[in-house]
Amino acid sequence: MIHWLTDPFTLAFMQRALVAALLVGVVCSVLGCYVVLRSMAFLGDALAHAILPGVAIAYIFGFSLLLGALIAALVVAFGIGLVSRGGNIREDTAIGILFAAALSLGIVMISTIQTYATDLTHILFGDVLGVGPHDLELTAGLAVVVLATVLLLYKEFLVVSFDPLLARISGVSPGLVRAVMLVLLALTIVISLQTVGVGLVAAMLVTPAATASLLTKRLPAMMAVSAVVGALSSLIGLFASYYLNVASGAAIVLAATAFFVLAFILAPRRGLLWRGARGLLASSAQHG
Amino acid sequence: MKPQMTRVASGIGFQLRDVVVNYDGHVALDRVTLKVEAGGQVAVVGPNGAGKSTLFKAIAGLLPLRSGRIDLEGGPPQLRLAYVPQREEIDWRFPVSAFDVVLMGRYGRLGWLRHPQAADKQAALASLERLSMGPLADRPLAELSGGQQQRVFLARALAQEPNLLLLDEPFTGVDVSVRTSTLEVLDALRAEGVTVLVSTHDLNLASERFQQVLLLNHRVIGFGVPGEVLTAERVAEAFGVHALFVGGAIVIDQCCPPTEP
Repeated sequence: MIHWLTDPFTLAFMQRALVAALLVGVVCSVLGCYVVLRSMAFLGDALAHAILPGVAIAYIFGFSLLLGALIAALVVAFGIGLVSRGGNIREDTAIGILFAAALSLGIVMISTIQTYATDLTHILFGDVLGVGPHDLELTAGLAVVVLATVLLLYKEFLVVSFDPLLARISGVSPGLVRAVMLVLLALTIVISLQTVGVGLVAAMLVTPAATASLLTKRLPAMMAVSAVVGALSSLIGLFASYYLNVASGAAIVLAATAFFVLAFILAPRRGLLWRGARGLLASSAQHG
Repeated sequence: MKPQMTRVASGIGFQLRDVVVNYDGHVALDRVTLKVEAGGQVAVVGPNGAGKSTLFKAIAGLLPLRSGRIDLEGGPPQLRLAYVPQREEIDWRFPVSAFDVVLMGRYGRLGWLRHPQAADKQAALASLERLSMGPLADRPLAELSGGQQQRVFLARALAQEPNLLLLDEPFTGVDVSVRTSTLEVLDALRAEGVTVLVSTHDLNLASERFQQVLLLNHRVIGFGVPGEVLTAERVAEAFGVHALFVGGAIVIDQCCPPTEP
């Protein structure tokens, strides 16, 4: 049994994959709490797809994919803000337009490359087993930046998310906080690129946080539970990938989804079973 | 006995001159001019959509003025504003406890990056206790009754130690006990000299419990002592066909906006 658990990680690439997957699981899940509470899931998904042209340019010209993705994510984040600012175009419409345009641009660029299919698959669905030592350093560095900012600005993020009016009266600008959140979202998506890929990062932002929201009642607890769910999903997904020889990113997301389904059914007070039992009790009391 | 009150400084007066505010493309406030003395308590009365919330947001500096100006009374303005929004503006399922919400009232004096200190936590708890909510401090907001939620927001306003308090429809859709404790808080704030504006549909309450009434329907229809402002003629002008005159009493045929989301 012990060997079954430790065997995979005697290999250097599996060690790096484990560290990268755990970092991504935790960072996505913690920031994801705000994504869920502020209904930013669509924005997160759009940002993730929109970094494709940046990745393609970096790939074609041979500089860091992560750097290309980061620049593209920041450009798109501010583009969405710019288009929707005037008030003539609603924000979700602006997101829809920019997201599809950037994704298409990225695919057009990548389709000029010979090994098109493999490269696109890695970008869309991740390739955690291919994380190099240098990638890992960058991932760890950005993960620390995102987590430290979330902790440092806890009070500001909380008040802007809960009551933007109070935030403004208290001298905390909701616009500035939102911009910081967008940058953190962009950084998080970038470090998730190699683990779960562009196509699945939204799931890692939303699913563990939604699971935690069913099990907790205060934001700090929600973040902690979400981080644990995210990390466990990464671990389970990686084992599944190693032993069943399936795609790692998708396995991680499915593990997170399994946690969500369990919470959705079994959560105390809020789960299906609980509510069903209460409904039965109420109706039997009525009829009896 | 109620526990010791949070220290609340005396109020601040202010003046609006020809204030025009647009909201959603309409003129929500049309050349509003009025002067509120420090320590005054004003009931703001008018039909739904008359611009009561817009007035509060303009005073709070949350909406830009199209023209006109708002001046604070006295020297360097030290406005410490507390604003209790209408129920619809709050996400009641947000994962915070009653105490968390009240502690947010202290953020204004902390500034960026500084975390609440022991004194802030004490002030938050004292405010909750003042509204008999001490035992429920750790209860999630979502699990409180509507009345308890309102007490939490009143406690948060007290924790802000304001010199100007804006209460948007605090008497709409609440039970008698919440109404009573809200009025008790208003009495205490009056004693402390805090300036308070309260928007309400309740004309009787406005005339019985407030020294001044502002009758508003986009523009100022009347402002002064209740006896002079709440005349049949002016109320009819503000409320239009919704004002019914039954014997000597005025009845407003307009029930309150929905209170539960």
